[in-house]
Amino acid sequence: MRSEKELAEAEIAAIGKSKRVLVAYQERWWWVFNRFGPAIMLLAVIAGMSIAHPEFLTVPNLLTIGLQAAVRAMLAIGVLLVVISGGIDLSVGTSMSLSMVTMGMYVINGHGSLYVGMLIAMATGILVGLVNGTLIAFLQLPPFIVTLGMLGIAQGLALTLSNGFSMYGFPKEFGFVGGGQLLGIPVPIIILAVVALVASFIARETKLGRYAYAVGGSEEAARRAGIPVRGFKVAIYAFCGCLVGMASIVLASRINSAHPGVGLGYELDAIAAVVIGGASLAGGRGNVSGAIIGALMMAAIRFGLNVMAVTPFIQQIVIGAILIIAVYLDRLRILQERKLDKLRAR
Amino acid sequence: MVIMNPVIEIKGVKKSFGAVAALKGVDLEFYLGEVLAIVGDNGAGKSTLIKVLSGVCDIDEGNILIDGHVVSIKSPKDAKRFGIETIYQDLALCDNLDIPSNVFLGRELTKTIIPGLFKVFDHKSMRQRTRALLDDLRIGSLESMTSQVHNLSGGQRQSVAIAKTVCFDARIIIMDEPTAALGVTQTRQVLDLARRLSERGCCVIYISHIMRDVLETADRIAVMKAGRVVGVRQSTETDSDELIFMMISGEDRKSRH
Repeated sequence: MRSEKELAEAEIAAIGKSKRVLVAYQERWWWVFNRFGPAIMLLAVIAGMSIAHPEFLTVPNLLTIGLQAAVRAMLAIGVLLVVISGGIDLSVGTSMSLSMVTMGMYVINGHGSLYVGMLIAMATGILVGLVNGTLIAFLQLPPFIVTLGMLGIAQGLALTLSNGFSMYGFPKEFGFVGGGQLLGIPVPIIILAVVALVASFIARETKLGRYAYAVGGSEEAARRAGIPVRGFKVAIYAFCGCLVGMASIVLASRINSAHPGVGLGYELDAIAAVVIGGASLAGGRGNVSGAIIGALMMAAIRFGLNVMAVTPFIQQIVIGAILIIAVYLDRLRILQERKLDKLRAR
Repeated sequence: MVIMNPVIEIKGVKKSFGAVAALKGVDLEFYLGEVLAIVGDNGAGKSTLIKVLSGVCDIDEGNILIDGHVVSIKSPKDAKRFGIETIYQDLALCDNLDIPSNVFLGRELTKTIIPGLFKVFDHKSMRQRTRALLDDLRIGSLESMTSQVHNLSGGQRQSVAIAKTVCFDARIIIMDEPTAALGVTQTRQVLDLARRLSERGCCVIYISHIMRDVLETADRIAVMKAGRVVGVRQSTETDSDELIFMMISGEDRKSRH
């Protein structure tokens, strides 16, 4: 005969076990969702488009999506690190226009060297990032406001410098960056692959990446651990600016001109891509592969809308709605995670 | 206890915030290898005393001596330099990082791939050293070193926070109400840890107002009231009634005799 106490203990153990099983079960699904959710969504979008338009799923079409995604993915990778650190950068689109314009002015209007022009594009992007980062880190201004202001400033500068006109006439060899192929693979996709590898490495293996996660997780803890939080914030925005510069070079080559208004709207795609790819606007989480999948998804949606002959006006509505839905999913994810944490705490 | 020189001596320390005198001349000695508890009601000056020691605020009057030398602790960085580490109730960990990343946050171990040029994180050594440290402190039952910190229970989180400070040659460890948010078993873990840290030769300053924990864990107990130290007792020679009387009345019955 078991005593009453033993029975009670057995019962408590049984309850504990069933709860653990429940938590484990939920956690497993959660893990699958977190890890493969973005990829599953991307496949769903492509599958949906293929069903609606059977001619959608062809190799040239997929390559076009990849090409269109390349610029968005570079911007998204830049924004990713910023978002991981708990910030946001709304200025990536228009500062891409600005980089393009400074490069165009030097190369086309000034008949300068193409390679120096590319460096100028990168430097412009980095400079904008440094200004953003400095204002945010040292004047303690909210990232949303600083980069929203910068969105306007960069757009205005790009229009002023170019007098509002597109610039044509880059040297012929420049077309290789956006339109060339190496071993049958479009060059922008190769550039993106290299950028993605380097960015993943930075995110995982270097202080810049680690501290971005730390600051996004708990800025106070990072500060108490002796991390120079302000300096790293500036570096994170500058890194984003660096990728903006690269994206501007690829896009300028693809459209074979420098256009002062082309970038506006890219920030929506970049932020949506990052959030769809699993980063949280609350900071502290996200990864490079997710951001690329998100960018592919945005490009696929835009391409699909074009195939379906949806007007650009309606496309704006769709992209805006997707951004809001993505942020709502992020919100749900945070709530779900809190719930799991509570269950786990027992 | 072996007779030796105090590691920290506080002499006549005063501190006011505007018109409010938070410390009105505090004298206290701290020794390596002991757990000294500081108890007192809200507003007794415990927190201010801790802030003074951890470099969060400067003192108005009096002296702080470390190893017999007068020092001034002007910033948390100074405090760290003197080997003083403070374990806060919260805000100490990054929830989204794993345990070794938290323990080594800001002081990551790196290995060189291309000499002079290229350094990457040495994840393996960080994991091994964290494992060794947690074993050393006998913090068991951590399922996985690579799980993120938000997956841990309150006691485990506190353990990681403690490991983080101990990892870096802290001699004086301030624990500010470390068990305030913890359950029974987790409180147990933290109290044991405080004892083990003192056995390793650290001086543990333990702030709490849970009498039972204090009596059980501390070697000596300092009672504060209204910015003064009312009295100091060996934990073996007192009980919670006497401590509470001292806390509330601000009188030391023994000193009258």
